[in-house]
Amino acid sequence: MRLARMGSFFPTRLSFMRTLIRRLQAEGSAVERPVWNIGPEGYGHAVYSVPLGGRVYSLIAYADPLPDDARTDRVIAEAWDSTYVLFDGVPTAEDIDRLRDHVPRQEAGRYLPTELILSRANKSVRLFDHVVERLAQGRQPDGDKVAETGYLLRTTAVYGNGKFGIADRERIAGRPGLAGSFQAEMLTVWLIRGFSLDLVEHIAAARGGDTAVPLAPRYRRHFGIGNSTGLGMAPFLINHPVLINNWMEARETAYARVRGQAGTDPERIDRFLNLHGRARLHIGEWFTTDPRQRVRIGLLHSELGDLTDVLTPAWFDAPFPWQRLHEHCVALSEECQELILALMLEPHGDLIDDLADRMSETARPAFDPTVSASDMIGMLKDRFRWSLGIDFARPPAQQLFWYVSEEKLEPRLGDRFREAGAEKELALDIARQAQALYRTLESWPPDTFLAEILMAHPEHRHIARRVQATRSCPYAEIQDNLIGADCLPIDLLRCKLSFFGASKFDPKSDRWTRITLYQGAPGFDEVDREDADDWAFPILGSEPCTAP
Amino acid sequence: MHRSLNEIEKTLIKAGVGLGWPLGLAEETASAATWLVSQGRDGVAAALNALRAEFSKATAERTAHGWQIDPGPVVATGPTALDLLELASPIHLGHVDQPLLLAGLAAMRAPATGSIEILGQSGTPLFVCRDGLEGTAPHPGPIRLAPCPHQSSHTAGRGIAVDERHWSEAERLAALTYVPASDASRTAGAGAGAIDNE
Repeated sequence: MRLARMGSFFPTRLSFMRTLIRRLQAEGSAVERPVWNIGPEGYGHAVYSVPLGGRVYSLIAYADPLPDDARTDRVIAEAWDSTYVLFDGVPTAEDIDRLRDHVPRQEAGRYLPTELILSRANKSVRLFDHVVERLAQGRQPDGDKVAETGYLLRTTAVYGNGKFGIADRERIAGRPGLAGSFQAEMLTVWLIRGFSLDLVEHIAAARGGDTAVPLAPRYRRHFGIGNSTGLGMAPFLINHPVLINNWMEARETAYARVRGQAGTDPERIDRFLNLHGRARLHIGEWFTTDPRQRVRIGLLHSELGDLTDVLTPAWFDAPFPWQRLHEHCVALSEECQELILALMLEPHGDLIDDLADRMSETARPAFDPTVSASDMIGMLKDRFRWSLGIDFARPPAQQLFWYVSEEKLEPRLGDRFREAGAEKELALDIARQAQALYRTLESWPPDTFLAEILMAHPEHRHIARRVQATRSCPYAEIQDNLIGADCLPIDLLRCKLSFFGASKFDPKSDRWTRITLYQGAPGFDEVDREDADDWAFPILGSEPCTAP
Repeated sequence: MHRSLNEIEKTLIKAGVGLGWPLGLAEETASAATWLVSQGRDGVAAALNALRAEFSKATAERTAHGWQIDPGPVVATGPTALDLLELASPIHLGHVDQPLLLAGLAAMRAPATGSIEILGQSGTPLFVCRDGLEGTAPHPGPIRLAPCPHQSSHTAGRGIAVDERHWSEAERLAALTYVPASDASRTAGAGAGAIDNE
């Protein structure tokens, strides 16, 4: 698992948003809006409730005025256009009033275990007012503007698992519907997306009266939810090695199952080729100002075009067509390889969808202090060989340090040789720690128990545990130097976001990106349709789910 | 005030690191404290009291009657004792400053070791397994650790109200791991630049 590979991932049908939508579809979940207390300017509060897995969950949305100069996506922001909480059950008026005093303040508020997820969003300055204005005039928004931005609201944080007193993950971990990875977070974002559509139409109707029109279905479907993501997401991947292993293992297992199919059938071929064409159009609607990503998109578009000539009926008639396609793509860019992987998984839901159930396990393997120094050295040589050759005496090999700023506890990345604070760096220097453990182990007699070594060297306890975990979790570690001068955190962000199901990565630097969530996904009134799961690689020009 | 278990664990890890403890020991202390809190015990106070001891490594000697661990802070001697318990039994600890925390540490290891008996000078054992603990924690002093077949019948509690004085102290110590803000870190450290509002 290398950074460059992770930084090329695309969402797949195992991504968490896809899993959630399939679950909602299977249950025929119908969203209700029991409270709509929003004024003509779009301020107030609303509640959406949805049944899932035998329970009801509710999004409480608060929309407030926000001066333009106070609008920022950074963690250091203190006010937002809208704030949200996913509530366990249906909130009473007292709950809504209580949370009114806390949710708009986000991190500065305090919460109870009935609150499952906390989030906030800002309007897209480029698009929100344009859409309101057009709808109020009885017109649809400019299609180019819609394609360019793709969302009305942009979330800037989605907090779960006990933050600020909200429910621990443990509360929902065993519940049908929310047991999978980040399902409560994904449900929250899907409900926020529905709110954003209702909100823009409501303001337009108040402004335009009888002249106003609702959004055309193709736009309702196309608008996703934007998201701004920075470094805060990166340490998660290093701090949850077992969980990350399970995500990667499910993905790799799915890919192996598909490649292992000796033949295929016309239905899968049609589906794959149709998606290949849709993906090419989708890539054409992928806008970014980032020079590196623009080059990659250009190459990807070209490579996908070349594949059109390869993917003939004869290709699929020969044995093991998917394995041969995999081998053919080895010569292409990693971005193209990963997109083809995502496309290959799409027609094989019957073969791979069960893997989604295995992705949320977080329990670490038991630590074994009875292994010998030589056993540990063997594990390091087997699983951490990638780290043992790095020359940390070279300054660039440890140029960077990860830290938590005292400013709203924002995770940041510093230059060890130019900035203060390296003595407080986070322990994300896995390669350096592994090397240090290796050197220590070599200095002890080979049959010494690890317990005795750690007694003398407690500084290695953390990495020793990680090394042991890789025996049963082969994908637990990112096999790159995360403090090296050439580390690109954006690769970590894209990896995690792709598992969420994010698309349209729009890097704003090497450590900050915009993305779009749920673009093309079914809305509240479409989730029970037979084709509700057909929204991979959406394009504005199409409507994958046509009216029944 | 109500605190989530995740908040408690993460804050105590930072507090431990802020006080100079190696990350691995801080993590085990925080996990043990969080487990104690989930059992209705004051794990936060036990952890804070233990973490305030000056960092020192555990030292031990193998004897004809198992391992003898020299007196030292339980943050270091506790994990060491439980490591050694998987090699030989019983384990004698010369002095344990926070026996309740040792019980939490033992619970974290119980899946590997089975139930553990913690015996202090009073002669009344405390039994610990992964699902709970039964009995009263011994007073500070010498402790004997040994596996036992006893299965706790204790029903786990869910008390997670944390004393505000202890919590304030934990947050103060956690803040020792934070880097002061600067203009450079604000603009470049997070990578957002100035183009985050469009």
